[in-house]
Amino acid sequence: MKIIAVVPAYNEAKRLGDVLLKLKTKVDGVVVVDDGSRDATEKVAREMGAVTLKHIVNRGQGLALRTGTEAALRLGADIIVHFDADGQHDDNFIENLIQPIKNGQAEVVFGSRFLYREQCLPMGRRIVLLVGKVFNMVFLGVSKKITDPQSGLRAFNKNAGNWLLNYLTQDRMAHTSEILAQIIKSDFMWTEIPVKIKYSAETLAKGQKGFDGFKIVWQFVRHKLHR
Amino acid sequence: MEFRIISSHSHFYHFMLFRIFALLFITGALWLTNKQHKAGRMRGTIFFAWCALWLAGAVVVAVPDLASVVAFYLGIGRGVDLVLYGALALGSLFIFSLSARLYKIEKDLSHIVKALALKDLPKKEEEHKVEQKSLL
Repeated sequence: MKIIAVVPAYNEAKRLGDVLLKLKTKVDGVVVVDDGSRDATEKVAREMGAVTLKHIVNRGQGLALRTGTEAALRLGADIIVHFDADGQHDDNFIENLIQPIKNGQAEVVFGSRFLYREQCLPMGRRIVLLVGKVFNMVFLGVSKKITDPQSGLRAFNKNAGNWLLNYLTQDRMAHTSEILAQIIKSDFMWTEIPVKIKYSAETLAKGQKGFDGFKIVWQFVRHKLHR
Repeated sequence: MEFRIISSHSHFYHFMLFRIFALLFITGALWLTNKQHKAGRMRGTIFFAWCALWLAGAVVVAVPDLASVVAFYLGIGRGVDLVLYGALALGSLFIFSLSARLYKIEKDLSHIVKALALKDLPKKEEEHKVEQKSLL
């Protein structure tokens, strides 16, 4: 089975090298989508030997993941792993993430920081995620069985990947909730596994803030109004 | 008494001046709307909506009491309130229409950005195959 990781990256030149170095040992191929970075992200990705695609302007992580997923499917991926470029995701969990797909127990696997007992989660982030979970349940019909409403570490087989490409519409932050909602509504078998998320001052500063919750809600409202 | 007459006349002339300028402005707006429509930059429905809006404005300017009469029947009170509410509703509609257009432009932009990024993929596919072989 060919496993390809898709890494969306925006101004991640400093951290991307280390991430790719570890990631390359765990998967068969890496597709980096430089989402209109102004730094040397693209150069770093190329030097690390990743298939590097460039968005000429920044359009958000949601679109970068769609571009990368399509590329991975064209490159013949059987399993696609979505992996963050900022070093928050731990490559040691990739094997656990893809195992249920390899075994035929699931077609989509979400990583959950809430299932990982030793996960140390900052209080602010915990509140944001709780609000996100309630929003997903009430407005998007996401099952309450999903423990992590904003997990970016996920894996799926090529059928789910092809299907997702037709149903995803959110270019920016709302894509995480949208992926969850679409998969739950579909007939694909899904599961969650514990994963560790590594927080640092840098990643917390770049990650989602409380106000971003409003942006996500607005992105969904806008889509409903204008689609 | 003399002062009152002068004041009344002054008020009348100012009012007439305002009406003349407002009607000239509306005429200009109608002319521009028509020009846009003829150039094919405005769809028929939008053209008629704008014409109706400007003509309604012209009627209110020409016969201000009419707004008060309509406002009375609508239970709004003053004619000026009717005009304000109308302007607010139209402003909201305009913002909504702009937002819809912006949304479409953003979607088109995303489509182009994705297509451009994937354009070089066949070449990269070859590179990927070479890389895979060298790993073996």
